[in-house]
Amino acid sequence: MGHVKKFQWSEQCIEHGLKQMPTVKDRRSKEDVYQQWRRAQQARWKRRWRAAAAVATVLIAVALGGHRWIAPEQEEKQKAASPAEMTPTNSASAPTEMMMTADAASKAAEQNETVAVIALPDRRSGFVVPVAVPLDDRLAPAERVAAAIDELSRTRLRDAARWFDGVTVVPEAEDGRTWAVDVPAGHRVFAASGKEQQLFLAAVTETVRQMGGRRLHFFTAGKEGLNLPAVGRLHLSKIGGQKRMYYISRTSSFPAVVLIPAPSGASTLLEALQRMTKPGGSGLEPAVPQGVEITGVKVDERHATIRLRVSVSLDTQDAARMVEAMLLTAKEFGIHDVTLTAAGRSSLGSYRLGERIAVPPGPNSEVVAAAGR
Amino acid sequence: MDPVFEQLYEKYHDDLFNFLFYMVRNREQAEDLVQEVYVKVLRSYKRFQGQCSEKTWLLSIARHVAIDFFRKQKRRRQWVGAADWSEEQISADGPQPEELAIQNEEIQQLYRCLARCTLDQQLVLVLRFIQSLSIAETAEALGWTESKVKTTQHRALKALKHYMEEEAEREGGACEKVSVE
Repeated sequence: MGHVKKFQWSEQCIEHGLKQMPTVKDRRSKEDVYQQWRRAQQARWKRRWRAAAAVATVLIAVALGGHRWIAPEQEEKQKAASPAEMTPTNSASAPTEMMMTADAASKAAEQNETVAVIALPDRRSGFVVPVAVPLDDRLAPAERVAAAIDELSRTRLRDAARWFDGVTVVPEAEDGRTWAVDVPAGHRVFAASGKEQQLFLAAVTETVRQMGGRRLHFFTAGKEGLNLPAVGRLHLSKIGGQKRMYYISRTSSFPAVVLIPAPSGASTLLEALQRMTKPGGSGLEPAVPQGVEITGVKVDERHATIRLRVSVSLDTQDAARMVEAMLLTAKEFGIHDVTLTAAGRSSLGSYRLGERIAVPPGPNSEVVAAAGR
Repeated sequence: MDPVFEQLYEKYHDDLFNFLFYMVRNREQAEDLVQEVYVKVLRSYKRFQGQCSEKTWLLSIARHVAIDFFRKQKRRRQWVGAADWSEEQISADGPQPEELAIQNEEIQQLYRCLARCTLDQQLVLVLRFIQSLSIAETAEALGWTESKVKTTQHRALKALKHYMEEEAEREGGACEKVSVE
């Protein structure tokens, strides 16, 4: 016989006790809470713009300090690692392609004020998937990528977004053409496999390209240069100006079918759109399905009219995806808005035919919505 | 006044404040954090698609804000060299609010013991029993599966019972001795 201590409360009693806990109320009035929220909003704006101005000042000072461009052999290495070189249809590249004009770049930058496009590495398909992330506020370019990564980290895309943990991607100058990419010293990419290192670099490069950048300036923990064993040492890298076209990938690990850009090798928009009716290799499916024919393209400065012949019944999502791929491909050719026409039809997916449709800031915006929180 | 703010305040302010108070156990911190919740909520309100209830959406944002607060606290503690910090010691106990001070000893004991539970356990106990959310709503607010909520709730109640027992034993009043063969 012995003595043990018996507790008076069961788990049910504890549940009951918890339910009896008092409600603790805020002693401030609604008006006080509202005013504090207003002040917090204003302070946040000031902080953001001050941070953006500080970054710009530092980067201008660095530029004026006489940093050298990279040596030619290093540039070659970086070119070899750029996403354009990694995509499957690169063999048909056309070096005569013109880079997007400053006008087109500034137009893209304007559109991007409330959107950031982040290219996420996808190990399953071996591609990087650019996703347009809507932002809550109009943000300075220096803050847009960070805000978008923050958004993605709250969705099911957080694993892919983790490759950007601690990585700073900001424009170096006001024209937004050269972007500084600073990777923290202990970043996971340094211990990653060769394939992952290439995907990471492709993701960073594609992100900068989608954000309107044309050159990357690499840093590691604030010091110039980035040494990736599988790729080489990077300092400054130029993004190829080749126009791309968009294909469909159903093999990614993302929660939706995604559009993937690949070099077109086409010299005109019509040529690019017509190539989009054929598979792109490496599992990339044509964005323009069978039964849809591109019968003509008329380009008038920044506006294009695309004539289609549609002889099949298209699923709403497939139709919307096809139109998005066409608009994004048109954007590659410096087009700002597109009018689609097809005899006997008034709409394709959610897009109305015969009306001007603005090109979207980036692809796959529905992926973020599908990934939820 | 912003109509969205007004509507959210009227419907959910008491719930949000109460949740944050029980998480951080400090009235002033809870006031700061509820402001942070409004900043985040009003920034993303237009993107709220009604996939879950407005209340669980707000509570999920409040939960993120509370976790960020604890992370910052942890970093601060590491900076000042605090040793052996663990998730069980994350609370920032301030003076006990009047609402609790007037409660009986058992409720006050529960409140003290709740602080010894892990962060996940506290989240579940507060949402389930103090905020009276269902298992499904708690799962939505935490972004967990319902089975994870159930398991955590089971462990949390067990842990809380254990802490209550320990405390009662220390104080000697809440336990009684019984004989067993």
